Amino acid sequence: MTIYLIFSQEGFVEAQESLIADKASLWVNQDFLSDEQVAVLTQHNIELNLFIEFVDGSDVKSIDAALKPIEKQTPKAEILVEYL
Amino acid sequence: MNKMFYSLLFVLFLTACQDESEPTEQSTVAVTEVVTSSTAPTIEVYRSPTCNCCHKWITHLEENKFSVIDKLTQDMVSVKEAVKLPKQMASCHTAIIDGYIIEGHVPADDILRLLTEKPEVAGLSVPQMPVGTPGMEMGERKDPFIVFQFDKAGKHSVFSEYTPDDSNQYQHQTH
Repeated sequence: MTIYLIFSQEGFVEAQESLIADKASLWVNQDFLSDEQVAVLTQHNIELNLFIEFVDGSDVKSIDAALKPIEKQTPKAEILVEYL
Repeated sequence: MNKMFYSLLFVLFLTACQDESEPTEQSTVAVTEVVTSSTAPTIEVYRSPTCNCCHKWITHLEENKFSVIDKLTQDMVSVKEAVKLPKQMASCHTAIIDGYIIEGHVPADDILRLLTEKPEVAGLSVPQMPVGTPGMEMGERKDPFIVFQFDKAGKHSVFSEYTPDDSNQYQHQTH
């Protein structure tokens, strides 16, 4: 299982093909995706998760705080984080 | 995979190079209170000022005749600790009604059932932020979700389930 943490539209566009091909799981901030983008993910049965608290993709501590519960829930998953 | 993404191992390596001290917890919770309606039942909702989905959930409650006391705070961690919310039940906002904790995007119907039946539980939760729950509408997408009842020791069980049917309408099953 592959999990993507994405913080920018540029990153989402770049990762979208792999995300769909891998049937990966996606974590993003709330209000990040448009309804059209959500529809595409839904069409491809991509699991979509939203961070409870805003994650600053340029702050390592913020990313780490977001990663901890994800890693705990899915210890065997490959987790890919967008680098800003 | 291109270089815009890096693996968890690299993230952990970067983190290990940072200051390991935990963020300082505030001893008090700064809260701004906004009363938004005057019809019963009354519910106090604690949320971050920047949480849009929390505000949409409040709108859902008001549409269902709840009187909402909207309490804005920057420190939701302290709010959840103060009410002894089990960590696995956590979502974005935390509400209190009639002594019960309501965590996350719990539908108004479930809260009304809770107030009618008054079970011996600490509260209800929809953990995380499932797409399609009240306040979490994103286009046509409706993910299945469960409303849990829980006690303060973290024991939880299913209170009700919502599953989209073939016409993409939620079917509600109570327990």
